[in-house]
Amino acid sequence: MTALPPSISEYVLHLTMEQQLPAFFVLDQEGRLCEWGGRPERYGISPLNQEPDAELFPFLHGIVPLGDEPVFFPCVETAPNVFADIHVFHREGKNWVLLLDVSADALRQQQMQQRLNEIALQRKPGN
Amino acid sequence: MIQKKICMLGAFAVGKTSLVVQFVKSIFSEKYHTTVGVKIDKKTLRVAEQDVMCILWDLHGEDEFQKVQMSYLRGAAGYLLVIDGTRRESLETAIRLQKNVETTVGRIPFVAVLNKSDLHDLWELDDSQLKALEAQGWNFIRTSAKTGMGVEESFRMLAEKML
Ligand SMILES: Nc1nc2c(ncn2[C@@H]2O[C@H](COP(=O)(O)OP(=O)(O)OP(=O)(O)O)[C@@H](O)[C@H]2O)c(=O)[nH]1
Ligand SMILES: [Mg+2]
Repeated sequence: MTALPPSISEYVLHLTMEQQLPAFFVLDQEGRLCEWGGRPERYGISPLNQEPDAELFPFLHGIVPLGDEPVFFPCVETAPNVFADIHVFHREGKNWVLLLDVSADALRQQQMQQRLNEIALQRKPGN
Repeated sequence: MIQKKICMLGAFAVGKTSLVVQFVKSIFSEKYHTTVGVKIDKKTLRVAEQDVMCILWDLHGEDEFQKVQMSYLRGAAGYLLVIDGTRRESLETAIRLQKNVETTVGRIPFVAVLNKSDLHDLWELDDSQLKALEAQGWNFIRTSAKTGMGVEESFRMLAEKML
């Protein structure tokens, strides 16, 4: 792969910002929230004045403090009909949490899967 | 408070979501709405004189086209392996999933849940196969997400194994 010129990488970044509505959170090694930004409200998360516990980040239970290996949870429904791909990784001695919106794909997938499953259930021998 | 991550695993339409909803909200719906990805819920149980907060991961069902990614199980303390007693093939799926968890995540506690036990007339599981699995260390519990029978008990049974 060759490097991308800035006009392309900036465009890709712009697309991501527009369509995937990133939200991020930074936790120190003790699990305290030290920084956050982007669009947390999109995912039903309001980190203001809150301890980062199971109430705020139920998906982090059991995985932080993180080792060198990143963790990826695809398609987590964080609020009604809002789905996020959640990436958790370690950089600069801290745990970074990144949420990217995949709601449109998830809702399409839901409709398709619903139809497939209903057909499969009807085909069941004995029915 | 003690917190435990619990995953709901099984074939599609076996009743994973219905079990969680019955456990958390004491509601049942006949209408089927398939899960995509995962939805996380919470419920506190009192087990062995301790409060245990169960963080419930209601995963999408496994089928031919959509395998459950084992990354969802990272950090899980246990799982309910859900089987639809009226669909024999859902037991085969459960056996495959259990093997998959054991090879990728390791041996973590699980309880095998035989759901839809209110539908006696449609029951398809034969006892000899269940006995063989029991001999391999499986624990079974019969539930109905519809009537609520065995639902809390199945989570309780798992919680006791996890503590
Ligand atoms: N009679 C009866 N029906 C049940 C029971 N549990 C679930 N159902 C029905 O079975 C269908 C599937 O239930 P779900 O809870 O959506 O199943 P699921 O395993 O979450 O399905 P996926 O998300 O597609 O994997 C729904 O129509 C439920 O009403 C039960 O104990 N008894
Ligand atoms: Mg479901």
